[in-house]
Amino acid sequence: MTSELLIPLHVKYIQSLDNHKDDLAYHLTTHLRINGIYWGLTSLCIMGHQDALPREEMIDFVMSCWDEKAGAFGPHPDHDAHLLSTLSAIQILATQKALDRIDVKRVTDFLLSLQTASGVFAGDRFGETDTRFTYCAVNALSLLGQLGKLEGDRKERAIEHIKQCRNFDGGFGSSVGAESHAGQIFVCVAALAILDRLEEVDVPTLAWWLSERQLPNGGLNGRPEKLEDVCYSFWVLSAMAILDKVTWIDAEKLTSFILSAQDTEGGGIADRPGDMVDVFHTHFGVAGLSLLGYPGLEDLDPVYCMPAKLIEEMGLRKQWTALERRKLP
Amino acid sequence: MAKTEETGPLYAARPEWKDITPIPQYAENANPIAPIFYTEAYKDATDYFRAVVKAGELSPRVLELTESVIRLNPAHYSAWQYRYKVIVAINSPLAPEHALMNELATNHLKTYQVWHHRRLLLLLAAKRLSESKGEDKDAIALSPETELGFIASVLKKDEKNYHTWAFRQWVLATFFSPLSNLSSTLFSTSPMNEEEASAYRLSMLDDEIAFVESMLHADIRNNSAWNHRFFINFKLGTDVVMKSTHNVAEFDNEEKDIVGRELSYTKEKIALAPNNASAWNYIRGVLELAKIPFSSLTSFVLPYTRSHGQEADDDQIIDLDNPLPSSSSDLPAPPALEFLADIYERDAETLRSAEQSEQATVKEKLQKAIPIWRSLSEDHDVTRKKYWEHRIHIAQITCS
Repeated sequence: MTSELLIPLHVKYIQSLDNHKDDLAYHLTTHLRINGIYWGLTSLCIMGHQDALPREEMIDFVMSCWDEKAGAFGPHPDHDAHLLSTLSAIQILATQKALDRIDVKRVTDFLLSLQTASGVFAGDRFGETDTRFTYCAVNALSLLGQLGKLEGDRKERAIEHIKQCRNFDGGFGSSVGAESHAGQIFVCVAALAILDRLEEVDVPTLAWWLSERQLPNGGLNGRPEKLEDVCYSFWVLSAMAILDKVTWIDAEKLTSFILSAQDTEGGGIADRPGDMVDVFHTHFGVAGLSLLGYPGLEDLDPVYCMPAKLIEEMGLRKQWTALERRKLP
Repeated sequence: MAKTEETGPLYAARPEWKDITPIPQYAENANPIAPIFYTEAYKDATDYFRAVVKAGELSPRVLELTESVIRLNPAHYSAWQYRYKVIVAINSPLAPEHALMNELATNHLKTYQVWHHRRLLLLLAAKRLSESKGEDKDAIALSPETELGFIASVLKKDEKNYHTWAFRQWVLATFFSPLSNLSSTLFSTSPMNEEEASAYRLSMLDDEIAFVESMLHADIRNNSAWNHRFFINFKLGTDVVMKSTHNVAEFDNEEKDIVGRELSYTKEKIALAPNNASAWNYIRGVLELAKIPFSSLTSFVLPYTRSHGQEADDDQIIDLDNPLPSSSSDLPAPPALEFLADIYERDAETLRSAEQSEQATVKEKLQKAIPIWRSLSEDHDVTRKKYWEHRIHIAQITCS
């Protein structure tokens, strides 16, 4: 049982992620590669080690994911462009202060082209729709300084669809009628925050539902009667930070839970204690700890899930409240 | 991972693929990070896939190739996309594709792609049937009813799979909502007039209620099932699903019946398992939607807020409208305590807005809620101590 965040170990773990090309698992996840880089980079930033991964090489990789035909980014070279990978690419380049490398016009056209008649966004021309994609589009447009292009009827349709995804328990789902789920709640709440329409949220009911996610072991689950998982430390906590209700969570117990999911030998954080680590849970575990005020970490902006300082510099900061950062002992 | 048996001989070894030059993932010295061979079969299949995509080949043999890739990596997004593109381009029969998807289903349930592919196949079948005026014997192998059957079998093994439930809702909304563009009768083997079609649609919804009840019978705490129940009763067939404005209209008699039925049903289930957040969230949702005050459930809730052995005498009279907690349940039930406190708080709020009542009466109501919240924060729901203290704090401000 460990009571501290093993930052140097996690940094080494993230640095080693690209050295697994002999693992089949590495190749089976090519469709997530650029997302993985975003998760790795952001958690390094929050841990204060942004330079642990080489900047130029990372930028080159992102640019090699450019899909010239679509005018956007895929998850890996020679993969078709997708909204998820385009957002990750933009987030990485913004963090690396290299947004000037992007063809903003083409990417903006790509993003806007994915909005469907009902207001929700598709992930690509393949047509899968999900409130996650609305968030990705809104976040990406905002980072590119193009949120104004989502105006009038476009903006209202997007918001209307999110409203229709609001459920009887105050939560939000992936599509109209779909079950409330912490991940979907995060994307809907964060999208509304970016669009300055948080009044569409039934705050008392939703914030209560979110605080109900905490289990006796301190961990958070994503919906009633499901298991705790470290990634919900972000999905739930970020939504609560936006609604200014993080104080309703037992911070001490959640902090212990996240720390207990670390791999104390190889580094990295898992979904729950004892399981295998991965960069996804490492990122969201660190993000959760940051929002809980864990000492020695940088602030994370819960709306964009990026370093808070950067978002502030870009003039994009929205209203949110995390726990005050505790002093290092 | 001995996948070569699953996917057959390597494509590099097949004479009918001689005309294609495979494209490796990493070119010879293009990248400072050195490539190393992973499994032979996966590298082989994806190298040929890359070549075929580059050449833009849309042919039957590409169906076999994409199947190989998908079997080796169910999450290979591009393989799914390209496969569908091929199906459309060569007008591939849907019945065998559908059968293959059913076969692959057990290994692929957690990926988004497998469900989206089914969606696309069903829409393609609907399109082909519509264009052939119902004559396409191949397309008819698919149908919304078949999909509902398939989904039900999947849910028996993976009762809370998010994509599965969302897909079920999509099938219902697309074919069985009164506002659907696609008719539920498109796939029927005998023609139906409008009245018959309407009756058929309603019978499907009855079947759906029965289905949800069977899922809840298997696990009364299945939150996905409770959510689906709300969807069938209050979202499907209203303009919420299809149109862009959400109006909570005045309830007609039929809707009032549904509300009454749902309240009775939920109370019964709460009686069986009082510590079930899903059921309490559901009952709150129904009351809010129908604009019924929480206080109407006061007699129902009270027995759940006491420990066993504390029942008042008049609780012994059997009241069908207010089923009592089962003798084996853990009492008091925290959700019942929360609900009772909410009743008092809402009563206080109503009195306050009415303006005629005295501060004393408002205070009185809140003073009943405060000890309940205190008992939750100290005893019955300590995990959320800070939340309960917040509720107390707000009430105390109002009282002063």
